[in-house]
Amino acid sequence: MAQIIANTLLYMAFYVMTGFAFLLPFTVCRRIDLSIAGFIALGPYLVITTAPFIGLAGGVITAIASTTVAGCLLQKLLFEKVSKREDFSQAALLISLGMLFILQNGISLVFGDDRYRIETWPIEPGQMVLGARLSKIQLLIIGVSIISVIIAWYLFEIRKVGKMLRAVAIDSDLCHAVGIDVGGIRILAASIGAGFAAVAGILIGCDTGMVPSMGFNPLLMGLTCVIVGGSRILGVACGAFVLSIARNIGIVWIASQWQDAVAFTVLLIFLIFRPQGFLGTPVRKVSL
Amino acid sequence: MDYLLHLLILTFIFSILTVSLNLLVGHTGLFTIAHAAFFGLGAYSSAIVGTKSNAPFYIGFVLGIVLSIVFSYIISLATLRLHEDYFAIATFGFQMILFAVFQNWIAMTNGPIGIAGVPKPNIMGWVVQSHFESLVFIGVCTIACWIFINRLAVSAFGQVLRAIREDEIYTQALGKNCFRYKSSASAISGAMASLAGSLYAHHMTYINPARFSVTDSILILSMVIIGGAGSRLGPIVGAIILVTLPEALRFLGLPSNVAANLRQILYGSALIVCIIWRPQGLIGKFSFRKDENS
Amino acid sequence: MKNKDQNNIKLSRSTKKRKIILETKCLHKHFDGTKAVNGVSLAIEEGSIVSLIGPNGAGKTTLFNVVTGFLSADAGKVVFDGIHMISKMAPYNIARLGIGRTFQDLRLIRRLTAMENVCLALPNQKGDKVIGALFGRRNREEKRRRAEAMNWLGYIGIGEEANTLAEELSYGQQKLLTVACCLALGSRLLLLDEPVAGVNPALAEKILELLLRLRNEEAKTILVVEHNMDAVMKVSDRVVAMDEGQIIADGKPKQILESAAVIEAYLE
Repeated sequence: MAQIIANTLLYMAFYVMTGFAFLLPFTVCRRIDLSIAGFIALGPYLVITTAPFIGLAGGVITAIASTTVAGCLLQKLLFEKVSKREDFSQAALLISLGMLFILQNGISLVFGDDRYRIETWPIEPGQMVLGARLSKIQLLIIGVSIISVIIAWYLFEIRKVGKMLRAVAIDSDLCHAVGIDVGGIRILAASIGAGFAAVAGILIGCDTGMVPSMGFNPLLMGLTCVIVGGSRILGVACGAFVLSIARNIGIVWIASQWQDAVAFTVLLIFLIFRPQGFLGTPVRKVSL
Repeated sequence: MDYLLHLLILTFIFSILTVSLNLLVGHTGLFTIAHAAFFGLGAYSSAIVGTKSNAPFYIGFVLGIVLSIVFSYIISLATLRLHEDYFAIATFGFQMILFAVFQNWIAMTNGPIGIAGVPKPNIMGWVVQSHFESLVFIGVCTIACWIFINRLAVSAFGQVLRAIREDEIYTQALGKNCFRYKSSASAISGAMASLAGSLYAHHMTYINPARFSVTDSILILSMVIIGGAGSRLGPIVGAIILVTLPEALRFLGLPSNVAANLRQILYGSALIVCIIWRPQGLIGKFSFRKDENS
Repeated sequence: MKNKDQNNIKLSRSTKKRKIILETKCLHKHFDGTKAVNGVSLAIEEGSIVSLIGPNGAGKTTLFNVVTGFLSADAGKVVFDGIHMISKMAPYNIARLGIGRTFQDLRLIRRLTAMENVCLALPNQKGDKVIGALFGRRNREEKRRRAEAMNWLGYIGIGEEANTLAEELSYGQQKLLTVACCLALGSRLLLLDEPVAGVNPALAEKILELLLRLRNEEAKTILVVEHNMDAVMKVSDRVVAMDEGQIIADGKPKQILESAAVIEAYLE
């Protein structure tokens, strides 16, 4: 039982981080950002590039910082350029696809397609913690994700910056009118999103290792969390919970390689019956 | 010579892919990242029918097309009444799923090993054997597809699709059932991609999941955009580039994986440049309007 | 374009017993606590021009949106020509029933010509469905459509601009074009949202004349949202004033425009 809880928390950890990474551009910047898959990969590869020179901790900090800056620059230099266009959704999607190609293939060019791993602790059997067997790195992952959720919730729901982010997500024209710097808020959102993606990637890189195309599946999971749970911080956590339960239960009957299919079916069901997700934030429809 | 014929055949097949995607992306303005999944659906249908049964070759085609239409409608029903972003999201999910099916359903698809020995089409006694015969067969199919899409595009149906792209609310006020138009465009686009997949399977006689991944969907999409979305010849130009660029890069003597990476970096950059500075692509005519209000 | 029903209309106007073509019964629509439409009951007679006036935010456009199906009513009924279900119908079905509308922000397909815009509005074309598009005899169909579109463009007075792109027409001509599209659609009831706002006086005059012609010659019923009181005086058979989601006055133009309640509503 405790093991099931532990496994659930472990899956949730990854889903929640990529969920946040997808949530921020989706709500605040009103666009689908698939280059998140590229940022998920960029994080860990930057770690192994820089860690030999400045140590693991230094590498992690550099990687997260650099990815955050990359997200910031992309929003400022590319996405802002098309933000006033009629076809903004499509243009933004295409730009993110282009960036995804550049990021993934850039990494592949430099590192090749073999699987790397971020070396943390030596591989050893996990310890018993509260009745569940978890390795040190898995404990770290769960810990990091819990802290992230708490920090995210505090920042986005309680603090003023969070209120501004949500305001821009709901009605950016009104925000312009009351003097909020919509462009700046969007840059902030994109940067934080990229940062979360990098963290997610680094965690994955410590756990199962990394390849250049590692970002797609986590992105799909994160995206599903946002749809299933609703476009709020707690919504993503809720969606992550549902998805990991589904995965845990699913494993009993369905082989692990079909887990993606399960996730996608859940996604479709929610799109049909409850597109606003559990926490019910309004969904853009084709209407006035 | 045979190799040139092969390239030409590939160009035809990819033209069917880009032209069909153009109907959905260029004319209707609906973005899908699942085109390669439908391509694969057709390919695997034909391959499985061809290798595991004695059914005539067109059964594979029909199976692929029927499956494509069904899946297309499911996605449409789920998302077309919502903002078009949700349609894109659903197609992303569908692409990932189908790729997982191609990779993991070993019993049917042999997984990463792929299916070999797909028989050549046997059209009432004429076995399409040589590359030249393939060229004729596939060429005829391609021209038929091109005419099909074009007739749709210039008709009232096409006008409504483009109106939906520009202003769906206004188009509804004109009494048009926009859902029907969008879902039809999606179904036709997917079905035609499946057709291309079946042709591909029979031509190559060997398929594996690698050609049907999300990366390939993005490649086809970028070719439609760079070639010129919404135009008649733009997708053809896109297909030509898609097929010949790897060959051109090969002349530079680069190792194949480096070439593949460079190619995609090139496409990615071209896509970004295109969207920001020349949205109508190389030879397209639709340029996106810029909103003058801030 | 003489209408066979012209005599019938003349008769019914003189006997003052006209069919109610549109009726709303206790219509409610609220947004997040604000009551945009708060119990509106309205009956519009066929073949009349009714102006809907009121300050901004009174609920006029919201009323239009609910009647045409773009917003769903929270309570109440809308009945068009005896058909009750229309508050639950999709906008395109309502449009097909015979209700045409224009939008406050002048929606049109700008990259099409005037002619193509009107052609788009024509219902039930063979080329609308996939099979028809593929196999229909295009040239004949095309000629028929263009001829019909030209008729409407000529009727509303922009026939010579048929091949001009919609975005290149003047603002007033664009407004005329939106009316032409409603007519091509075959609408019997036209809901026009600010048809002369922002239009130069000469063209505004032309638009108003068109509205009168549509009522007299084509037996169309027209519901107009307008802020321009001169225009309202010129064309309306009846004026309905709204404020804060409710009808505050309803009657002949002269008495409404001089009513104290209406003037007060505007001044607030």
